[in-house]
Amino acid sequence: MTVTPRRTLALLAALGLALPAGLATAAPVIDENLQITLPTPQPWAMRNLIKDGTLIVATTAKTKGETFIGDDGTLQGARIDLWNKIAEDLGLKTEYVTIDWAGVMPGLAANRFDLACEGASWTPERLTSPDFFMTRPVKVAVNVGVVRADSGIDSWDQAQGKKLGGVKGEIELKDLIAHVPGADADAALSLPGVSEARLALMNGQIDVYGTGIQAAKSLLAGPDGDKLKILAEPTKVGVGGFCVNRNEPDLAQAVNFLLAKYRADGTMTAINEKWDLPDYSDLLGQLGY
Amino acid sequence: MELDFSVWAQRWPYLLDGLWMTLAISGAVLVISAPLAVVAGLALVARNRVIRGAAVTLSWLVRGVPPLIILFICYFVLPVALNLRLEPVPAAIAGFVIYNTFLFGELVAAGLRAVPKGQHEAVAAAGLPPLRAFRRVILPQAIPSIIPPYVSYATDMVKGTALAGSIGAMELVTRASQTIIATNRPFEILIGIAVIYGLIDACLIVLQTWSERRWASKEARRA
Repeated sequence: MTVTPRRTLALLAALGLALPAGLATAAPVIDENLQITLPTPQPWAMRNLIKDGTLIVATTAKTKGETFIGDDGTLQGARIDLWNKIAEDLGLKTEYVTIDWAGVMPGLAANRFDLACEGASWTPERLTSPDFFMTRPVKVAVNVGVVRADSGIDSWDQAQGKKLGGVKGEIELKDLIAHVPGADADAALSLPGVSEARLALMNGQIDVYGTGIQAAKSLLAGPDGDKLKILAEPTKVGVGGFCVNRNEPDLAQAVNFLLAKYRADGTMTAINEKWDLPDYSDLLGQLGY
Repeated sequence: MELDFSVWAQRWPYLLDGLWMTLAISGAVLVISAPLAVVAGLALVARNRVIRGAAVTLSWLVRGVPPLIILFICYFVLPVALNLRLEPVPAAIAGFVIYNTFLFGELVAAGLRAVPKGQHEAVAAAGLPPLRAFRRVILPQAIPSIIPPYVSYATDMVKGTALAGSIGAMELVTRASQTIIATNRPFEILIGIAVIYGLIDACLIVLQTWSERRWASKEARRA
């Protein structure tokens, strides 16, 4: 049918008559008692899992509160609860592989794990990585610098020329180097893990340790924590999410769906409160997540 | 700073599991790589140039690569390259066996070279079958010079199993590192772990002394 000026006018006239009539008679579509359901596949078919019926998750077990070894020698923490909940809702059982951070990304690329990262910072490189998908954020990642209390360092200007350090391959170290004016990346000390970085800081082998706020707080809460302090201004504030195997877009979609659901129904808040972690649900909501 | 070793009272079961894992990996590697090392050692001193050349090249290649890289290859590369998926512990054992076979193989080759040439000629002249001649005459003479460096490398290997944590095998050092994070007691944990490794090494040195004496008395009886 061709649209002529005459037909257009007739159509507009008809709409003009019909719309008020429709508005007058229509029942309210949304009211406060509206029950919304989120239809999900039951069971949610995961076509590319490494092992059928099992969600293989890699974790460092080296971030207190998020994933760590509890007094009873079991893997515990807010992320463990969250991953167990995700697996349960997907009808899967979990299998955990504890591995150093240096092995997490290669493991995802080598198809060893379905899911990994306690809350890896979003970066342009990671978001566009061909090796894995990043999920929607599960936390606001506040990266900070920790110094010895008697170091005389209270600002980033005073950190100039000081020895910087952090965990090898972690974004927190890169953020620290980027944040200190004139910092030499080659001179920074890359350490194998959090415990080594703590010792290096205590022993004076590094003056500033770049890490996440949660790990920093854990250091201050530990023995000799009163000998350390966190610099007031963060090196970077971003968001962190999980990493999903690149062969499993269906898992990435399901995890994103469930994370949004857990945020909305309070599951995420309850888990964070259980492990005494800050809950960033509202803040993430303001960011659009 | 006060040291508080009570952290061990609470955490020892978790760390003990790590010790068993360290011992299991070490034991498996020593048991599997020892006979393979004999084969590698024989290949390294073989009269056949092709066999000797292949063994020397392979040994040079494998010993030139850091063990950590061999572990990464076993765990991360094999699934992609050959669709061979090894769990962390078997992958760690495989990686260490590959590395130590050639490391120990060089020791065996050195021990075989230390046997006087006349002994080789004597067994050949006596018409003994090669395998029997090797087992009954050549190897017993080579073993005393192989044992000390073998135990020395074995202690290094036991300590080197800490690398297995990089591919997810929950051995002693990995568990210690996790325990340090959970308890914030680095010095107490590290001192305890050092003592445990010291005891393991002491056991290996006792074993070395015992086996050297045993071989010496056996040779003395034979003489």
